[in-house]
Amino acid sequence: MSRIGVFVCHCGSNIASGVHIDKVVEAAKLFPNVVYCEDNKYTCSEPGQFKIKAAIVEHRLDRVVVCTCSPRMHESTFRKMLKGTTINPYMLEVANLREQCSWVHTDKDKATDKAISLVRMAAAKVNENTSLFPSKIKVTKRALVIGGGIAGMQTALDIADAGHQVTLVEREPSIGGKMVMLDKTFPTMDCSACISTPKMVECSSHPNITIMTSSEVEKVDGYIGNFQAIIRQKARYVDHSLCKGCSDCMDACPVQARNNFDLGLGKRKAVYTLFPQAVPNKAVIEKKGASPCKFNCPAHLDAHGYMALTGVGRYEEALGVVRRTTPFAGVLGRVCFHPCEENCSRNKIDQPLAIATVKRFLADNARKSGKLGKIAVTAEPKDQKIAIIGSGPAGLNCAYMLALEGYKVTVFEALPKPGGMLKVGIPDYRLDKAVLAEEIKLIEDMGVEIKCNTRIGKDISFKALRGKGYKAFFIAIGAHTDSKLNVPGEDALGVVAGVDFLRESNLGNNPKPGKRVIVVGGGNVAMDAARTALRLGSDVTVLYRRSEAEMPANALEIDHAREEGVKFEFLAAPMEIISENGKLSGVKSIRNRLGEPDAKGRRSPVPIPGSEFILGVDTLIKAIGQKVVQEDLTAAGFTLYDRWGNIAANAETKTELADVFAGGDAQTGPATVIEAIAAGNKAAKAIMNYLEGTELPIEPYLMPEATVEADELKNVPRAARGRMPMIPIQDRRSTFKEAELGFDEKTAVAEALRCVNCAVCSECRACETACQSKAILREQEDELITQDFGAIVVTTGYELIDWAPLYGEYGGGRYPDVITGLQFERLVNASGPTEGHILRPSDQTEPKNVVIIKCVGSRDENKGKAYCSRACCMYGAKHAHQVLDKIPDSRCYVFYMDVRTAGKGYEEFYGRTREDGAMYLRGRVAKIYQEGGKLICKGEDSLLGKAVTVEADMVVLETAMVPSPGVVKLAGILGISTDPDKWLNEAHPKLRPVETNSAGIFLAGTCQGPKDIPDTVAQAGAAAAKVSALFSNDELETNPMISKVIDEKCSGCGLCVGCCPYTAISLQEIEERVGALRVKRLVASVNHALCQGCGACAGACRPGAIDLQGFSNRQLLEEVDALCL
Amino acid sequence: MKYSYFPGCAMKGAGKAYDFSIKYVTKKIGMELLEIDDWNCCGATAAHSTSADLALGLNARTLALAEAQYPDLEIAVPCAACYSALRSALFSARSSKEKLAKIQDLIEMPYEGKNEVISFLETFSRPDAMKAITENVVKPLGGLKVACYYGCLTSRPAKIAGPDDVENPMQMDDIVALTGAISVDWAFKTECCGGAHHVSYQKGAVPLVDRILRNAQANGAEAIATACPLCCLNLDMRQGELNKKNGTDYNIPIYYFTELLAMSMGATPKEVGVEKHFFPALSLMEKYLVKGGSAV
Amino acid sequence: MSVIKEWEPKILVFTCNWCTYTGADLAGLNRMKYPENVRLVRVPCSSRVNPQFILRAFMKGCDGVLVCGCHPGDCHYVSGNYFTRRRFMLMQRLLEYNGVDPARFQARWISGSEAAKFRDTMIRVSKEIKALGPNTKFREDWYVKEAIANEPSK
Repeated sequence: MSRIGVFVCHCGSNIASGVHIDKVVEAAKLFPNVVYCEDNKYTCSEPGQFKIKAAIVEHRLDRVVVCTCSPRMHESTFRKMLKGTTINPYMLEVANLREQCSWVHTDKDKATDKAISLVRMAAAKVNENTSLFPSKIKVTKRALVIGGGIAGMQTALDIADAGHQVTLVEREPSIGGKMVMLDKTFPTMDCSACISTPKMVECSSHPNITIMTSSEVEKVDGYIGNFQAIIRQKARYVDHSLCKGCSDCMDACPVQARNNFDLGLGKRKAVYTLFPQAVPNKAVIEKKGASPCKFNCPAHLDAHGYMALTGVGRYEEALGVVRRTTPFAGVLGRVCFHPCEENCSRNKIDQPLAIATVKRFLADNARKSGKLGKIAVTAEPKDQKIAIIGSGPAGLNCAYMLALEGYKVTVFEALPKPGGMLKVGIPDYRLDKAVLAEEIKLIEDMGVEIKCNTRIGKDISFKALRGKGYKAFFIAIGAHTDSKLNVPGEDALGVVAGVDFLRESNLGNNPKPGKRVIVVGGGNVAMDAARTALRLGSDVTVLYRRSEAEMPANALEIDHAREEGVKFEFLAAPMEIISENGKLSGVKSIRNRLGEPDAKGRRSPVPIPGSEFILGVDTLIKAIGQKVVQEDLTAAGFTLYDRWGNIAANAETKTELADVFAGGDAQTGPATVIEAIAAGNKAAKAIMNYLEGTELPIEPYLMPEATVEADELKNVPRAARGRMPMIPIQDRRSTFKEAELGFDEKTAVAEALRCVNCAVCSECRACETACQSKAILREQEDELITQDFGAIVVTTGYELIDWAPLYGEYGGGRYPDVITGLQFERLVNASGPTEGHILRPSDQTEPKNVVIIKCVGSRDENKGKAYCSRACCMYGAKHAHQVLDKIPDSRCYVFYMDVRTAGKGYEEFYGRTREDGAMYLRGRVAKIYQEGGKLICKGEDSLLGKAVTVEADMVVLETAMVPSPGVVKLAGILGISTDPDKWLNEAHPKLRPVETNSAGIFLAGTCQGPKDIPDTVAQAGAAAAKVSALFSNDELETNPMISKVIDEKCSGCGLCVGCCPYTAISLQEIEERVGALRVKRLVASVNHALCQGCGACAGACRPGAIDLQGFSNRQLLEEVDALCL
Repeated sequence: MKYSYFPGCAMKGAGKAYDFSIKYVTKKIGMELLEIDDWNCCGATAAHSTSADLALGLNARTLALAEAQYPDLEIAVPCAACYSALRSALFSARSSKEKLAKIQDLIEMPYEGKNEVISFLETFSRPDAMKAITENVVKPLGGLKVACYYGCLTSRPAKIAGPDDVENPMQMDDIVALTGAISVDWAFKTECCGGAHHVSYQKGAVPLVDRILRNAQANGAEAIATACPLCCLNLDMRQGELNKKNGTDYNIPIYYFTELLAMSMGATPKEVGVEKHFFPALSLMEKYLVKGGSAV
Repeated sequence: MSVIKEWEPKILVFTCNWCTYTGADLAGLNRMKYPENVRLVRVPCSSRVNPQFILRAFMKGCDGVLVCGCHPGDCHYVSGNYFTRRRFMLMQRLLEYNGVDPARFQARWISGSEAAKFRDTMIRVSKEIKALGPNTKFREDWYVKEAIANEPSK
C-alpha cells in the first residue's frame, strides 16, 4: 500500500488564474493511495521545496506528484530535491498544469476538469513507479573540436588551458576559418589577421592541442564521456614531417588553379598553402583524381601534365613528361587517334584540346631547336639479356622501358627497316618517316640493339636465343597479313592486300595501281590505301558494306580522304571478282541495308536481293582486316594461339611459356599505336617482375577519373580549338608530303592554356624535382584515425549563400563586378589578390560609385532565407566606411531594409559611417544590369516612395550566412538535430545555448545560427567551460531510465535486437533449471552504458519481457486507465 | 519535327517577314507545320482586358480544334502574344476539373487540355532542330553582333511561360549562334517594349523602346533579333523617329531570328522580306552576307 | 437537454518527449488555445507506444487515440519513429478491420518548433472525433453507454 503526496502549484497566477486550484486539491485527496495533498504558491522555490520535504517526513510519503509546469522544466529540480529525502528521486511524477492546461484553455471549469484528470493520471502512474539507481561510467578527458575557425580555436585553447587534451579537426589545409579572410573587424576596425593569427599560432604551439587539418570526422560512436571518433586524414600528397614550408614546389607548379581562399578573385598553384600565415605552414596538393585525358589514354600518358607545362613554355620538361611513358612523342602527335581528346572536358562547352597536336609540337620544336637530345639511363646496368621479336610500337616501347631500367635488350626485325606498322603501315603523308627514324634512334642510343632483316623462325629460333643467354622474350610481331574476302575470283591478278600495298609503297618500291582502284573496307588501313592510291594517280572508290556512321576509320581520316577526292560507295559489298583472261576487269557488288544491331551494337548489313551491280576496276585493294603471320613463329617453335589466330596471352601479356611474353596487334588483333605502346609498357613490367621475382603492378598508378560537369564550366571563357594548318590540297592529291603541318609555338601555347585542369594537379611531377626535402608523396592515400573522446564541440561555422542562382535580377553571377561582402574583404585585404587596393575584378580599375545591397538572401522568404543574418548590417557599414576611406572622392550607396546595430559601439559606428558620407537608401534593388562599363542599379527609396537608379562601378552584395556545407551529414554522424534552415539545434534557446540534446556534444559559433565574432568567441568560451565542467569528474552518473529484461518472460525471439538504434541489446546465453535438468537458452540482455532509453524494444516485445524503467508498461497502462475515468 | 501550327493574325499582316522566313527555314530543315484549320485570333491583350472569359474562350477554341485535328502533336506558336494567350488558356484548363468543365461549355466543344503549347524558340532549340540547322548553314553570318530580344510575353509570367530562364533566357542566343553570328550579353532581353500601348499611349511606350535600344547599343549589338511581331514592329517603327526626336544615333536593324537563320541558309534578303522592315535592314545583311566567312 | 449534446470525446495523445511534447509546451508558452478534451501522455519516443496501450484505451472508453512523434528523419533516437510508422500502419488496418473508424486512430509528426501545427492538429482531430460520436468498439462499458444514449431526453 503506497503513500502518495500530491503538491499543486499556483505558479504565481500562471496556473491559478486558469484552474480552480482548490477543486483540484479536493479531488486529488480522493484518489487511491493519496494520503496527503496541499497547494503552493511557488513549488519550485526554496520554501516550496522545503514544504514538500516536510510533508514527506510528516506523512511518511513514499511517492510524490508535483502538479506544476512542464516536466521538461522542473522534473530535474524535484529529483534533486528528493535526493535529500527518504524517497528515491524516481518516485516522482510531474503533472503539467501550466504549459498544457492553464495556458492553453479558456474555460476555467473545463480546464479544472482536465487538470484533475492530469493529476489523476500522474498519481496512477507514480503508484507504479519503482526506485531506480543510476550506475557510473568513466570519462575520457580528451575533447574533439570540429572546425578550426575562431570558435574552434577559442574553444580548443580554453579547454587546453584548463589542462585537458584537445584534438582540433579542420577540413581545410589550415586553421583560421573565415575570420582570417576578413580585413578589419567592426566596430573597432582593428586588423582581423592581427588578432586571429596569434590565436592560430597559440593553438599550434599549445602542448595540449593536436591540430588535424585536411581532416573530416567520418564516424562517431559511443556516448557522453566515452565517444569513439573515426577521423579521415585526407591525402595531402605532401609528407608534412618533411615539408619545410618553403615555396619551391609552388614556384615549380605550372597549374593555375582557382584560389578558393580569395573566393575565386585570384589564382593559386595546384600545390599550395591556403594563405601566407597558414597553420600548419606546409604545402598540400589539390588532386581530384586522374584527368580524363590521362585516365582514358590506354597508356595513361600524363597528357594533363605536358599540356600544363607547355602552357607556361616549359617545352623540354613537357617532352620529358611524355618520355616517362614513351619516346614516340612525334609519332603519336601525328598518328594517335587520341581518346584523350574524345574525353576532354572541354567537349562539354566547346571543342576538346588538340592534345595530340601539342604533343607533336613538343617533339617538332625540340627537333627544330636541336634539343631532341638523348634519353639518359639512370638505372644501374643489369646483365640480363632480353629478346624482343618485332620492332613495332609495342616491341620498341617495351625495349625502351627495359633499357631505362638498365637491361640489355635486342630487337629482332624481319623487315629491312625498324618501326613495324609505323614504318610500313602508315603512309608518309601522315607520318614523316624522318621523325620515326629519329625517335627510334633515341632508343638505340640508350643501348638497345635492333637487328633488321632477321626473321624469327627463319634466321633465329627461341631455342637458339635461349642458348645465347636471353632470359626473356617479348613477341610483338604485329598483324601483317590480310583477311580474305571469301568471294569467287579473289585470286585474280590485280587483287592486292591493303597491308601489302602499303608496305610496298612505304618501303619505296612504288607500286603501280591501275587507273580505276576500288578499296574494299572501312577501316584506317582502307583510308590509308585509298589515299595512297590516289596519290599514285589512280581514281579511287571505297566500297564499304555499312553506312558512313558505322565506319571504324577515324572520322578525320574519312574527311581528308573525301577532300582529296576519294569516292565512297556505302552499303555495298563485293559478291564476285570478274576477270577477263586472268586480268581483273570488274567487281560484282550488291547493295545492303542495315539490319538489327549485333552484339557490339553495330548494325549488321543485310543484302537487298536483286540489287546487284557491277563496277569496273583495274586494281582491287582488300582492306577488311589483318591477321597474324603464324608460319614464322610456328617454325620457331611457338604454337600458342587463340581462336582468332592471335597469340594467346593474358591481360598481363604472359603466355603459357614462363619466359615468353606477347602483346600488341599480334596478341589483340589489329589495334592502335597507343594501345600497342601500352602493351609494350605492360610487357616490360611483366618481364621485370619475372626476372626479379617481384610482383609489382603491371598497370601504371592511376587514380579514379576526375570528371568535371558542364555547369562547373559555365563561367569558363569560350575559346576555339587551334586550327591545324595543312599543305595545299593539290599537293595533298599528288605528293606524299606530310599533309598536316602542326602548330607553331603561339598556337600550341594558346591551345595548352585552354586546359580547364580537371584534376587540378596535372601530375607533371615538377614539384617532385623541385622539392629538396623529397616531401612529395605522389601516391599518398587517405588515412583513418580512430580516437576516444569524452566530449565533442561542433564549431563548423558558416558559408555565404550561393546567391547567383537565386538572384537572376542581379545578373545571376554574369557580372564580374557584382561581388559578395566576403570577396570585398579579400579585395581590401592587404594580403588579398589586389594587395588591399579596391579594384574592379573586370578591369582592375578603381570604382568611384559603389552600391552596397543588404539582406541579399536573408529576410527574403521568396528567394532566400527568412531569417536575419545579423552581422551584415554592421559589415555593410564597415564596407561603406572602407570604400569612402580608401577611395578618394568615391560615393557609396547602401540599400537597406532596416539597420540593426544592437551591440556595444555598433550604433555609433553606423553613425560615423553615415557621417563619412555613406548614402543609406531604404529599399531593395529590383534589377542590376550592365550598360557600357556601368552597373545600373534600379531600386526603390521606400521613404521617398520613389524609384531610384544608381550608376555603379561596383556592387557589393551583403549575402546571408548559411550553415557550412556538410553540416547536415555531420549532424547525422553525431546524432544531433538541425532546424529547418539546417542550423544546429541547441538544447534550450535560452537556458542551454551551447549544449545539444545529445549529452556530451556542444555547439559554439555560427554553426548554431548567424552571429558576429564577439558572440562567437563568447559561445566558444561557454562551450569550453561546459566541457571543463564535464571533465572535472572522473565518473558520470548514467540515466537509469533504461530498458530491462525479465529473463523468465523472454522467448529469445530477438525482435528487440533489431529495433535498437544503439546496438545496446544482444542475445546472451543463460542457464536455467527446468524441472530436474538445467538447460541453456538465449535471452535478450541490455548494455546499460549504450541504452539511451527510447523504449522501441519495449514497444516491440510480444511477451512484454523487455520493459522501459520509468516508462514501464504498467505505469503507462495505469496512466491510460486513469485518463479514461 | 512535326507540329500543329498556329500562325496568328500577325503572320498574315505585319509579320510577313517572320512568316516568309519561317516557311523558308522549316522547309530547309524539314520541320512540318500543319496549320490548324479554322483557327481564330488569340485576342491578344485586348481580349483579356475586356473579359477573362472572352480571352479564355477564344484560345480554348483554337486549342480544342488543334486537339481534334492533330491529337498527338504539340502546338507551335510563332507570336509571343499568341503564345502567352494560348498557354494561359492551356494552364487554366489544366488547373482544375471545374475549370476545364467551365471551358468546355464556354466553347461548346470537347477539350481535354492534352496538347502542349510551345514557342518557336522552343521548337528550334530542340536537339534535332539544332542539328538540322547546323547542317543547313551555308553562309555563316561571321561575327555579326546580335542582341537577342525575347520580350516579356515569351518569358513571363514564369509559371506560364516556357522552360527557359526567366531573367536571362538563352534559347534564342543558342539558335542565333548557329548562324555564325555572335549573340551579345545584354540586359534588356525580357523588358517590355510597350506592346499595344504604342497605339494607345505613345508617350509612355516610346521611352521603353528607347532604353531597350540604348542598352543593346551600349553592349555592342549591331542588330536585334526578335521572336514576336509586335516587339519587332515597335522597335523597328520607333527607331528612326527616336533618332529624329532625341538626336540619338541608333543604327540597329531589327530582324526576326528566323530571318537570320534563313539568310545563313542561303536565302536572299528579298526572299524573306528583309526589305519590309521600317528601319533599313538590308544593307547590314548584305554587308555580312558578302563578308560571310567562317563561323567562329 | 440531451446527453449527446453535452458529450465531450476523450482523446488520448501519445507524445514523444523530444518533439511533440516540446511542441505542446511551446504552444503553451505562446498561449495558443485548443480544446480541453485532449490529454497528453508523455513517452520518451513514439516507438515506445505499445499496441496494447491503444487497445486498452479504446476498451476503457477513449474515443480517439493519436500518436505523435518527431518528423521521420529527425528522431531523437535516430530511427524510432520509423518503427512507429510501420506499427501504426498495421495497427490502423487492424482496427479498421474491426470496425474502428480510421479517424479514431491517427499518427502525426510534429516537431518541437511546430507549436501552431500542434494546436491546429489538436483542434482538427478533436473536431473530427466529436463528429464521429462516442466510440463503441471494444468498450467494456458499451452496453451502459447505449442504455444512456437511448434514454429519452427530458
